[in-house]
Amino acid sequence: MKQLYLRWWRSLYARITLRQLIWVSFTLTSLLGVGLFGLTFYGRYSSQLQETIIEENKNLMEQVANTCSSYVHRMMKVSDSLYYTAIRRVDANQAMLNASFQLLYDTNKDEIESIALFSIQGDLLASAPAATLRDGFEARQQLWFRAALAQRENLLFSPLQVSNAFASQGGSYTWVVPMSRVVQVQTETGQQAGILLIQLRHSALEDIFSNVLLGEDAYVYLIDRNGNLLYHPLQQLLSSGEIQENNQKAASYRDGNWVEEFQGQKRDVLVKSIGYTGWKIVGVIPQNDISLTTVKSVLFALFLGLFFLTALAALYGLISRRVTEPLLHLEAEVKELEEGKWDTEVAVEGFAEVRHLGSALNHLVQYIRRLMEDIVKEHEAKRRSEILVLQNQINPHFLYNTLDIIVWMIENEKKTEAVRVVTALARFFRISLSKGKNIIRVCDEVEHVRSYLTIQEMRYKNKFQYRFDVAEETMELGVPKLVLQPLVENAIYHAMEFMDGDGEIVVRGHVAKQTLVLAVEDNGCGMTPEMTEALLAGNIQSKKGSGVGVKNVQERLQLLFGKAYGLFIQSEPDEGTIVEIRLPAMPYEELAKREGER
Amino acid sequence: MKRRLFQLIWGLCLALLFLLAGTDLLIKEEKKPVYQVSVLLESASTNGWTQFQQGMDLAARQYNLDVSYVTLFDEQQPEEQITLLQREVDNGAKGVVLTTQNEALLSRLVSYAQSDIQLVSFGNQVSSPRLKASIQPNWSTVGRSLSASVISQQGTQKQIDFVYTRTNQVSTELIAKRLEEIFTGAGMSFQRLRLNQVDEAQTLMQGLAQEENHVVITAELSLLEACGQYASAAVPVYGLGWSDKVWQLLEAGSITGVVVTDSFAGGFQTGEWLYQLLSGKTLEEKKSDLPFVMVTKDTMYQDQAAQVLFPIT
Repeated sequence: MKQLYLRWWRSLYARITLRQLIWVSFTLTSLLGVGLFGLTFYGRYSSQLQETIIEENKNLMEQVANTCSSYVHRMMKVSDSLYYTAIRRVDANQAMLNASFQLLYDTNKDEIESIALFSIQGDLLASAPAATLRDGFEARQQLWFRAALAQRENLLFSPLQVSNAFASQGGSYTWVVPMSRVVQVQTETGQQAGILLIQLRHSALEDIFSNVLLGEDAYVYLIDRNGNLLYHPLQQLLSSGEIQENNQKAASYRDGNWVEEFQGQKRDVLVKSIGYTGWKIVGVIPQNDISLTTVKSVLFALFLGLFFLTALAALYGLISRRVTEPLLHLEAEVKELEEGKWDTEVAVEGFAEVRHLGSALNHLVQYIRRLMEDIVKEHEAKRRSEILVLQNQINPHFLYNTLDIIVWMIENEKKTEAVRVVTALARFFRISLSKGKNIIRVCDEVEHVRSYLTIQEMRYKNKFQYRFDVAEETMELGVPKLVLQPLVENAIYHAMEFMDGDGEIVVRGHVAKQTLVLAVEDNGCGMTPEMTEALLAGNIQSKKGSGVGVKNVQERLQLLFGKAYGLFIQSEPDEGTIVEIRLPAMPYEELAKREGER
Repeated sequence: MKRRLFQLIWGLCLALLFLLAGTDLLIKEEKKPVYQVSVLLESASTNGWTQFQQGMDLAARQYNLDVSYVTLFDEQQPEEQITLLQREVDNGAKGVVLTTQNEALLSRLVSYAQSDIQLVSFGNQVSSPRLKASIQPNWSTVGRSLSASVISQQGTQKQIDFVYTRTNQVSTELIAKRLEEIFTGAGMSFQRLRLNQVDEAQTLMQGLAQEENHVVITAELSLLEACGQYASAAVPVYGLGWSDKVWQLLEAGSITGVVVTDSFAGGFQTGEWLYQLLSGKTLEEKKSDLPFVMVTKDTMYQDQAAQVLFPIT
């Protein structure tokens, strides 16, 4: 399986282009980056939002706590005021107490349901508004009464209850928070303990809390130190058991932020205590209230992610194109070079590395070009060397034949002829050497052949005659040396062999259409076309001569001037043969320069 | 060509996503819909119905209900209820709370209403698939609680007189039946006394006062008020229902004990049900027992009773 996977991966990797590789890898990296960034940003933003909302709600809770605290202190001041300015007065009497109570009640009746003073036996001593106790009401049985007696030094706030001390009037009822304390009452018989009760209207707490908005599903409630609810926006539903609240648990929270899970819902809980009373304001903010999990939020986050990814993918497309296009051009140019188009100019473009590569390739191409020129030159040199070798092949033949004539003359004591031959031979070798030059003037070449014919005439006396018909205009033209002599030698050995004194060899020379034509004519036995071809191919063997002379001349001429030039043979059996040498009509200096001899 | 097509589709997808997420063209910002509902109230004058309305109002605030309360001119007139029901539906009500105690009338109303109207009944019930939910006291439990209170306070030597005026009240019939079972089971004498009208309560109470040893129980609020008004110490009066008058009579000791249902909770529950039905949710339960408390003069200001009698709204 792993092997298969590796193979698949390698095959894919081999098929993928550099541009695709750059684009895909960059895009995938970006996808990862955008994903990680998006998630981190989303989490961070959510938590920041949560923190901000909690902070704002804390400030709001602080304000509510201040308002509530201020309310409580105002009510405590009412209690103190009643106690110290009315109840404790030495001259206090019933009428004065009732008047003081009524005054303070009237001033605060929006917040206070009633004010009442009870004796320690539970008798009503004074009240505002003026009312009679409800039939059967037993003050000493009330929680607020017993609590005040249990903690005589303190001002006590009891749990929420329906005001039930006084007979109901008009069928209305009021929920109150009883605030009670032990007081010393001045009576006619002296001082005695009593209980001062101020019933704080629940509606006053409602006014403080009902308009506090922490969020869509968030709310605030108020509990006493034992967790009893004093205010809750859905208090009646809690009472009837329709819903539940975590108020008992909240009573154990210290001031600050808490996270709790209640009825499967996670929620942030802010707690703030009200001084002296032990009351706690509890703010509840369901966590889904401040999260970014709405469909639109998620879709928008997705849109942003995809948008950035698309923008990055487009950017990477451009970058990969910028990177790979010069490489693609380079690849095309290399392909052209592979096809042998060495004149291709490699473009130097793109980034620094690619430019460097292009430049290096250019240098390489130039180097290869130079190398190729060197190879051509080397080949040329080799060709020249071969020509020299071919020329050297000529000389032994000729020397052998001439010496053969001289030996023959000396043996027959023909000194004069021998001198003439040796003189001709000396002239022949002087021209042959020509100070090492390969190109000589036509006049020298003619002179060279003339010397040769002088030597051969001495040998083949009366066998043939010769004459020269070389135009004067050709004399200063250049010609490879020793091209006529092998042709003349061939005419002597092959054409004149069976002639009986009537053989004739004519050496001609003229210029026709920028072509120098040197010809050797004989009236010998002639040749068939097959023989002509065999002659040019060097395949004709004879008793005298190697048979390679004509072939050498042909090769030399074609090496120097190309296939258009060389030897052209016209021959008819029993009629004779004309062998023409054709080469470009160039002045000696020019040809010598071309061949690098000057 | 394929690449161009892909780019075009991708661009269109992005544009669509933007329209979905960034504008209100395709996905509207979810706004709480307002559901129009009507309540056909049998009476608006008693505390129980006031508390029911308060509970319903709280549900309306919580769930965005537009509640229209329709009070009957004559609760015993079936034709009026049918006419009002039709009028409310014509006015756009998608849900209706029926509160009639008359079982036959409730059946007629349920069968008359259009099938797409969500019907919930309070205080009564009939077996019909068109009635989506109902809440009423568990009369068996109410009877047990009431009888237990009577027996504990009055002993088992008293004659129980169950007084009523209406014959078509399902609650009256059910509670009477249960009380009869319990009291006779306890070896007590139990009799049903039907009055033609509430005014006859005075005569009845005066007559019973002469005989002593009687305990009067009634399931009708108006009759409870009347009996309480003419009650004497010799004839304790028990009953069902809550009103300011009952409160006064209870405080005065004229009424010895009452069973009071938590109408506030009932009102909230019916409102919640209607919201769930209208918003296409499935109800977890189709029937619910209405909570109640047994209240005496001594217990009426205690927490549990006070919270039912004097709801904090």
